[in-house]
Amino acid sequence: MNDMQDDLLKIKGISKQYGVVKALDEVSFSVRAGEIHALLGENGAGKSTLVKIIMGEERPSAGSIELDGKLMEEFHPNYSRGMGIQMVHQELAVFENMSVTENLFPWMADEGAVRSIKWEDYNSKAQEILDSFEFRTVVPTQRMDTVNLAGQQMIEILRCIYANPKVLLLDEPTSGLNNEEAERLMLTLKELKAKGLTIIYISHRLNEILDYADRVTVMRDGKFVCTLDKDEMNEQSLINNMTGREFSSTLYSRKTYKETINPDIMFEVKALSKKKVLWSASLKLFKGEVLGVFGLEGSGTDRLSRMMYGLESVDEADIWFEGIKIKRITSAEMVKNGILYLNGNRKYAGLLHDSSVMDNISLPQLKTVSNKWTFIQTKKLAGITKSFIERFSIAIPSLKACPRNLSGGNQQKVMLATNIATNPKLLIVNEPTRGIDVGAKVQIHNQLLNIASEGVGIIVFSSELPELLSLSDRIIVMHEKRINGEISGKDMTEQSIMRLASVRSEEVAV
Amino acid sequence: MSEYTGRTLSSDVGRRINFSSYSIYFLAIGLFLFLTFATNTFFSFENLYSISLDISIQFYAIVGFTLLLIMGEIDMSVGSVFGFSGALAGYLFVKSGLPFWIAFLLTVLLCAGVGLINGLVVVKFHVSSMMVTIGMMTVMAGFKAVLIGQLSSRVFTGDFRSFMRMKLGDIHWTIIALVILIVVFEILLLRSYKFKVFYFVGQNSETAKIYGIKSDRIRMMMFVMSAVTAGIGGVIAASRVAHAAATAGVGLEFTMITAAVLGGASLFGGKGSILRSAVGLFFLAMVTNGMVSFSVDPYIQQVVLGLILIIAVTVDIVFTRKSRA
Repeated sequence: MNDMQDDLLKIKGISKQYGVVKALDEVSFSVRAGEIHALLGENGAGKSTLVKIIMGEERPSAGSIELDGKLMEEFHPNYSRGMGIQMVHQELAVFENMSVTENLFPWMADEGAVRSIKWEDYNSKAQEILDSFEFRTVVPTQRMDTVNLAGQQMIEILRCIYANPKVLLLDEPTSGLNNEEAERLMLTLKELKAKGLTIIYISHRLNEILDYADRVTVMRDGKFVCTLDKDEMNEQSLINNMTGREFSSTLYSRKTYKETINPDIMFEVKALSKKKVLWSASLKLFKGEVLGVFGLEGSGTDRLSRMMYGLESVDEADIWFEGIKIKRITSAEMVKNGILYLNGNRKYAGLLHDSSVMDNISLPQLKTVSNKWTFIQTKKLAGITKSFIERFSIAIPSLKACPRNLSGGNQQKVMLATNIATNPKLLIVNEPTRGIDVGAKVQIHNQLLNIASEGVGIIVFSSELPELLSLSDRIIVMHEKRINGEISGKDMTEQSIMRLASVRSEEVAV
Repeated sequence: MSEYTGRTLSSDVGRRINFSSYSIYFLAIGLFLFLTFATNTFFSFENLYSISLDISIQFYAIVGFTLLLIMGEIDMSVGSVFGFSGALAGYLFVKSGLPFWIAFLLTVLLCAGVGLINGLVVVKFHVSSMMVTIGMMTVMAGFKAVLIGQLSSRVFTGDFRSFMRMKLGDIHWTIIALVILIVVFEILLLRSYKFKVFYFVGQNSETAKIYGIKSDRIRMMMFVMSAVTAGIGGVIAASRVAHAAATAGVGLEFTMITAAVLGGASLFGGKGSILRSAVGLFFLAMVTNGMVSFSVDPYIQQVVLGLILIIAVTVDIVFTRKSRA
């Protein structure tokens, strides 16, 4: 087989400059017809920019792209679509208030002489498409906002497929999905590949790439690093190429578990319930322990973390901290008790994106950094901020810089620093490393383990099993809005936890 | 990593160096110089004093209004509350025969209640503050009309009339209070954490809540502040004209938005300062003053003020979008 002849898409010396920042630097590689080609790289490596250029949404500063031997003459989405390229964005572009059919055929109102929509025709056409992918959980007339995220994604993919493209681009299609849904999606992509479609997709999930991608192109700092064939791909090689350094196995290495758990209870939630959201959830955190909480999407882990911190109302709950019952379950009360919360979605909340890093650090401890006249002591605050920037090695131009202009990893570090700077007694962390690169991930894990060893209680909510396994002494597993069981020490394996997460505990045969 | 030193680290939101925070000063100085040289009437002690006196009354209303804008919320009922409070204080004073200070106090308390209703509806039921306060604007305008009907253009005498006319030396107390309040608020908003937290809540109330700040309570408090300061301003204004005028406070909400946004406050919240809002008021007063001395048709004056509001708000949105892109 001759490589060159099989290349469907050739990317030649693509560069992209944003002001002084070089997002892409002479990237060249080829994609073969009918393969699943993964794009891998740390955050900020330039993957998203590259696919946007292929889609014609961004114009490159230099370089060219050939599709099927033809030079792409324009960079405009309509031109790219005309060439046979379709893209599913990370942020889905769906009409939530419309039906599945309308989302599959958004242009349908433009057809026909009098432009009256032939609903039956379109609905049956939609049904056909859904059937052909054995996608039976939705019906064409259903409103889009009643379809879950995985389903919406699927519908968006089907819409792209209906245009019969040659190349399908997917920007992190699995990032919002749980493992099961991601797997189903990848199987669908495999089917599409079998029908001759060429797929380029961005992902952070190494296992998924190893399982489903035919080849992978690794990028780093806007540059092409390498393209690996299936037989060259393994976890180590991918991580090494991504980070550009020999990566010791510190990332997911198992630490030694605390064999004798201190029987003193530090924090206890008793029978936290909310109608239709959570069934009587109870949990205990022992002194000096890192407790993990795991659950698949929709199991209620995120809501539990928010409710026990007082960010959402509950029907009933008793929360005890260091032997004293917390009177009012509000975040203000928690902070007063030395309990802090690392939010799971830093874009939405957890950071003041337009205030300086110093202001961010000051926020949970305004009183501490102020004098008795309530005036903020800028020097003291600068000192604290500086020490945390060094301790967390946050890459930042000045203390005045705002999180909005930082990379995801640095934002996450600023958020964690904001929490830890208060010297908390207990830290509840929700998805501590979501959407950040491997390097920052390791640093954050180390910081968490560090404060845990100093006696800070930690409860980690994470949808990433390897992360939980490497951080936790004990893991509580949730399934369908209730706590389904717990596993500790050496019994914690991916299999045992996944089983608890996907099967009601009465059904788990003992 | 680039260097940073402890000394140059002032990082306050309200003090961030960018053109948009200072533009109101340039605008005001530019207009001041223009009017000084282009007209004979503008630069005289009498004229400038009269402008200052006008501003010193509207100023009260803009204190609360700006604080609320920092929250990212708006109070369209300021004008109505302003007019209503003058009429109510007058009613209590004239019809109920209460001493002026008691009437004043009761009026302000009632206004606080109005603000609390605005705040409760917005914060507890997540209704847009624009809509709630437009409703309240209509409600309070109705009450104002009822009270004015009852008063049948009675003149306020005695303490009520002399309230606004009190002077310290040769200067009306309202002007002195204006200067003191501006300085105090400017210092507190920049330095005191109890005030600086307003900016944080305005920027992202959920983030503030996560870190233990009672965001909802602060947001509600600012609705109360807005109504209270509008109420105080309304009583002072009524004292000045010594009767309850049907026109009192009409259109004031537009003056407030224009002045505050010119002064760097944003409809998205997280920005603004009392000083700059006051300069915004001064700018608008100069525009009106200038148009009068060029004998611009009053209806055209209205056109100009409307255009200034549109431009100010557009610039705010374009700037904010740019900085968030």
